[in-house]
Amino acid sequence: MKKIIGPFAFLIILGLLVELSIFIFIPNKKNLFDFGMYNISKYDILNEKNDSIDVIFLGDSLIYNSISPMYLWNKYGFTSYDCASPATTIEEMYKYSEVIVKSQKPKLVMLEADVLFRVAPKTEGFFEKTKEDISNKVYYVKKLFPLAKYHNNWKQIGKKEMTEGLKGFRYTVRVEKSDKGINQKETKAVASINKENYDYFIKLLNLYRKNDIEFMFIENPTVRFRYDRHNRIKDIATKNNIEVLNLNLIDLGIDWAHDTKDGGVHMNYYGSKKVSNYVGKYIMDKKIVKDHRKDPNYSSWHDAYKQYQTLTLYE
Amino acid sequence: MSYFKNAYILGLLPIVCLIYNLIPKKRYLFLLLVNFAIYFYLVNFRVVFLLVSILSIYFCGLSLNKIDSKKEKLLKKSKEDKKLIEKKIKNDKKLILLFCILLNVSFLIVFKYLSFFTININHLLDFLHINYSVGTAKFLGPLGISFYTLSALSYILDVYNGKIVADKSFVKVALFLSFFPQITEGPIARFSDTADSLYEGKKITNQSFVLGYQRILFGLFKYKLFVPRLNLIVSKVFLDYTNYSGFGIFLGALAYTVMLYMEFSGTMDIVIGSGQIFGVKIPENFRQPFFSKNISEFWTRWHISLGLWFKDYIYYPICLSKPLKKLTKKTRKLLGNQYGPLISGSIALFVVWFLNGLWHGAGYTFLFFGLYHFVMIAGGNFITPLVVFICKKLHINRENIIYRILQTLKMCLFVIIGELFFRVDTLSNGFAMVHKIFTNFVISGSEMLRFGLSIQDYVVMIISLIFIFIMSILREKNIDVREKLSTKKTYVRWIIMYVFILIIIIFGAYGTGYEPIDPIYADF
Repeated sequence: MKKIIGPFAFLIILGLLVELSIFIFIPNKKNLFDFGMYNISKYDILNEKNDSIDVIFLGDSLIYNSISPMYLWNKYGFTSYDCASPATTIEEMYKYSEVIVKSQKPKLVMLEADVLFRVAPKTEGFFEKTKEDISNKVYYVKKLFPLAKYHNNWKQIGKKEMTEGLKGFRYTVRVEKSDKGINQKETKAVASINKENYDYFIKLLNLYRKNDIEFMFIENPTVRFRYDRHNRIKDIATKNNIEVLNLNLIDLGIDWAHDTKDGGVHMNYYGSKKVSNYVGKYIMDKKIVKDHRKDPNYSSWHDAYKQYQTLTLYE
Repeated sequence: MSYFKNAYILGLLPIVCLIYNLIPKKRYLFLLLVNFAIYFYLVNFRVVFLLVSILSIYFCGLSLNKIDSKKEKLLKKSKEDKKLIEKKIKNDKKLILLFCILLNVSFLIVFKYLSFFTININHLLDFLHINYSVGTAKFLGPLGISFYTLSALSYILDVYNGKIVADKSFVKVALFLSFFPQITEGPIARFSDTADSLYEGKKITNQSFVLGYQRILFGLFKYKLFVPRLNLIVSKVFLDYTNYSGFGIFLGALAYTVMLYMEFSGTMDIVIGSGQIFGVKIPENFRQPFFSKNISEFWTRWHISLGLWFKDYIYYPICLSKPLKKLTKKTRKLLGNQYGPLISGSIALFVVWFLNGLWHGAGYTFLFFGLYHFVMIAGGNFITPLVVFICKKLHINRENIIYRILQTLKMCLFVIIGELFFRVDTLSNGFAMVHKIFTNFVISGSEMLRFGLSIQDYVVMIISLIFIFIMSILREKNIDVREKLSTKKTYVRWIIMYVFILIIIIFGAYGTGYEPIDPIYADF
């Protein structure tokens, strides 16, 4: 009996130690305690001070690979956050937003339109082999095991305020070129949207409008861009009086041989700089956000930028 | 397959252990099934080549046995000349051996060297102004072919030389060549090292499981604390060395040497630990190489199984061949007893290092790497008697600690330069980098922070290096830390293990900013 209990006891204590040590490494514990420790890794934004984020980028991998909040901070001085998870659905984004609005009142929320077309899989195959599936599995491991994400914060122990240097952005300098680029050929065709997804979208829109938060669509550059989907998004936008920023039809100067991490589907760090630069200017032109770079209340963003710089300075 | 992945350490290995232990008998069959299932998952249909290697050494081994037993009978019965029978038997055996070697080596040539050879043939034809070119072909070879082919050859050569008797059990031979922890990166084990224990299929005990996992954790520590951090330096310096001063380039070469050690010896810790769980004693592949006095000793402590393979199957057979024996006789007369044997020894050494370079990869940088070591080691053999003589005359104690430290530093410098050539894309880049190290060397703290590593990263690596240094001293003194640990009370053992595991999780270099790297030696 001792032979069986021993290893189990060892593993249980180890699990507890690992889970408890997360309390040392998570930046802002207050919000997490307020909202519960559920899905720590996903609800990264809860680590931020209440009402400190100006813009939230909501969506899937197209968001966290294309838009770098630290780049925006350094260049334009407003605060933003990538609230995105891989291959997410609009239903998930709605539930996610319900939690976020309790601690943040951003001036603007930009939703990646791609999310509206994704239908949640009802069943999962035993052997899943796509890159997206694998990336999802890694994501779920991180969800279960937040220390894997936050362990690098040991470098900040002893500091007055712990910061996180990416703000939801996923940094990679991996290059896998794309031979084709974006297909911008116009079509009259209109893609369809699942009714359930549309209903959730309306709920999401109402949630932000109820909280006086401006809401708009963004379509990040990808070789998977489909004009028929863009047409559908335009229809929805017109119907609901929403702006659309389609970066697939604008020349951002993207070099498809260098700026993508996986053959054009997602941007890498180099591509993200070009996208962020354009998006930042677009938001500044709206004159709804302020430059906080000289505001002492935002000093932790300078620390966060230093971390970001360590990663990216020589790239 | 990277053995450092959670999928292996926390998934595959424990699941295989659990099922293995639930099987009451003939566990070796399950193990064989697992070996082939994993290998099939990794290389798909190319598993056929492993199977052909196993079949070839199995049947050729049995044929050699058969001929040997026929020899006894013939010698007893026949009235023919004994020498004639022995010659005939020897010829038959040679034919079988040759067939087996050619078959196995041909796979290696096709998968590893064909492209290199054809490219060079075309260069030669071009140089000779012959308007003809051979088609260049590159085939993707099965993972670990360089490792298991050498193990297969060692089996058939040992049977041929009468060191071992060919085994009648096909399963045993197949297990020996396909054991999953060993298949991708070695060590290049001999049949007598692992086959019996693999076939025995001992039940996994709590003790073997704990000891095995402790070793695995040590390997994981080496990898997680060092490799992704050092890779940030290595990838940047070797991508474009012109951006860095001689100091930066030296740092890159030093980082690559340490990274290779941590990655490869860490993998070996995981492989040996995995074997230990199943009661299989896989031979050690590293023995504190950086404690060596010279580069020759270094190579008896680094990748030991490869060095021993070359020594047993290339170096000694060449040295003991008739022409070289004759040559030694002549040179002894000419140069005396000290320098005379070094001539034929150097010829054998040249072949060993030429093949060693080629084994690591098809390319001029690898050939240079081999020849560089040949020059260093052969040169050392010739110079050492002179150095001993000078030290004696100047009353310098060669066992003195300062002398020993200087010897080790010199050895490390030679190793670092060798590894630099091992990593560069072209030889001209390698020479330019070495030139810059010796002509533009200015120590600069700011250059150290140009790689995306913070001061904290360097501090973690230095502390970890001190820990590994202490562990190495203990191993050098034959003190088994894990054995000592096992005598401690449970709570003490557990606390030590918890601290060690948490150190790996917290201070390990993974996640944002660190890219995991593919196994380095699996490519060779």
